[in-house]
Amino acid sequence: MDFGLLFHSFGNVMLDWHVLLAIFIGVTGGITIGALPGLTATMGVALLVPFTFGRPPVESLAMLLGIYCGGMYGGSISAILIRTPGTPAAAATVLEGYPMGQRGEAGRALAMALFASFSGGMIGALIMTFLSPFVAGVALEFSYVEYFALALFGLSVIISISGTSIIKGIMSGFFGLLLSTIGMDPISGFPRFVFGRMDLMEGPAFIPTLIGLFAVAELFSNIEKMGVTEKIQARIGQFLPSWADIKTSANNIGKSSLIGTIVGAIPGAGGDIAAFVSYAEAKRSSKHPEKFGTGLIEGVAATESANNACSGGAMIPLLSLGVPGDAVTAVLLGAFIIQGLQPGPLLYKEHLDVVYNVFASMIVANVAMLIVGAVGVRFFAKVIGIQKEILIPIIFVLSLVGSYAMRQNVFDVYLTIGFGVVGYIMQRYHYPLSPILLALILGPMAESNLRRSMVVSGGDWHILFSRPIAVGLMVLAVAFLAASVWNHKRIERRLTEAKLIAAEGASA
Amino acid sequence: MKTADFIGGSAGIALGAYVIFEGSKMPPDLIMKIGPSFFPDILASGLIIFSMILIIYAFIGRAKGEAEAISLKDKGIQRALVSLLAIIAYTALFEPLGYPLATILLVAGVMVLLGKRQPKELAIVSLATTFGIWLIFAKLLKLSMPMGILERLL
Repeated sequence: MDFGLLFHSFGNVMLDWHVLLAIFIGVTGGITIGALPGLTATMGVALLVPFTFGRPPVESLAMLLGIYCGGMYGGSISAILIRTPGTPAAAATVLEGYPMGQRGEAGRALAMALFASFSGGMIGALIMTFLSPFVAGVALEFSYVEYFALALFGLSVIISISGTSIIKGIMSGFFGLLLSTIGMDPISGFPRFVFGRMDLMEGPAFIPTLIGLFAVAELFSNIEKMGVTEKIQARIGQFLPSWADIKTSANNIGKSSLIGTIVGAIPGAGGDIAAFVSYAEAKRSSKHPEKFGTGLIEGVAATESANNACSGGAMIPLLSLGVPGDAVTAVLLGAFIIQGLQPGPLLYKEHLDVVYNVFASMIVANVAMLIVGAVGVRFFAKVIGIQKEILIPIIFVLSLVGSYAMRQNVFDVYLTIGFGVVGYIMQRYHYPLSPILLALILGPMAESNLRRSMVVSGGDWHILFSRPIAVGLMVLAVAFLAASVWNHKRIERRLTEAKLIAAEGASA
Repeated sequence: MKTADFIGGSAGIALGAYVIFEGSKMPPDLIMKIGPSFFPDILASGLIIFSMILIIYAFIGRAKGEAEAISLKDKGIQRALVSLLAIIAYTALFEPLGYPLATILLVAGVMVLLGKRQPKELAIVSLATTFGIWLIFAKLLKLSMPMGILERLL
């Protein structure tokens, strides 16, 4: 940990108004997108990545981290006001937040959600700052073999982000891996599955693919199931929580932030799981667990600090190993690559300044979120009321122009539409989309490092088992796979239970 | 979900078979033993195996979850399909017609499709969106946007 450099990076972020502005724009955009049901943080980052083309790395990454932090908090606004979580991570916030809103305490709940998000986000970001250099230090010794093993480990995560069906999750993963083989073969340069098109030589362009899968697909399902936009009636007269509320929830915030960071650091487990685990823990350790579900401020504090802490946690494997912790960090990884930076241990060696700027940006983004959230809560509450008839065409244009912008190539726009259709159909039949994203990133990493290892060994497979860390990672991948299968059913059961409680609470 | 899983599984098998077929035409690597087709072959085999499992599960009644069939009579599906055609047309017209005109048409068109009919609202939203997004991409990010026929007129 280089404190001098950290201090210097804070200067870079806070004294350069371009970067500061980028963070504030990112946070505002993130909260807005997070607050809108149907638009997730993943979609927000995917949609706004094109806004970073041509901007310097520090500024671009600062904005994207702002969106990430803001999006996690934004989900709670609609969860509290209209019982619809703006993002999956805010699903658990509905349990206590909405009953509070119904009692006329929407302002109090929103203020706590903001404060808890800020505290959680801050704790997560600090843990990330101190822990990831250490992890990266270990990973610096890696050769091709270890990188191959690392990619395998990252891919073993697919099961834990599989949603309802493990089989379909794995199928999505294989589909994504196959997509990643399109283009020139990394070793021999032989063109694979390009159908004679030069546009596919480097594989399907990442951002257009991403926008198609995560934005356009979502738009199609929104259009298919157009509902009535809810009007917000709640009066919001409070921007920050009272001292008494903070005191009651402090313990829960601390505990949930830790849980959130740990869950976030496990590749594949995202904000929704972090929030539900923390909620269950807050309920278990409470002196009055029977009151949970009726609108308890501690519940809001637990879920919101956990999902925001999760962001910091998910950044640890991304930065230090180059393995994304969840879908949003997978998108962020793409954004890093566009900027010419490959996350992973080498980033610490070659671009240490960038890494520390990321640390500083993440911490500043949390402060920005607190300010923007407190000042703008009334505005964000109004945003939820924007009619879908107006929102959908605007997002269509953003998606299509965004995919065109990078290479100024109409082919990329068709690619976006194609992936939009594929994503829509897959989602409709419960094939999860996140494994595709993970596979697109880790596929080339696995293949090129395996093949390079083979070049080094002259085709001798034993090289894969010649290095202890690589063997360790492969064993870990197998163990993780087995544990995920076992855990899948348990988590599924817990989530259904929590949703049942939510449904009962709502109907009562 | 049973029929849907059967179709999904068959699509997976077809895709896997295609990849293996294409892979068989790729040149082998004599030194490293694994050539360009090695990775795709393994992945395609994996996809085929899991697609088969999905189909078997569907047959023995272990398909998970509910699924609605895509019916063209459904109003929602019709809307989604028309919006798909609209964005394909937008993409085709993007360069020849130019960003401004194509975008105004797309925004107004999708709004009408989703039930907005007031001319004033259509005009304001489509013009403001087109101008706002142009401002961000063309002026702020300095990326060139095709002006199409407007370029000749201006």
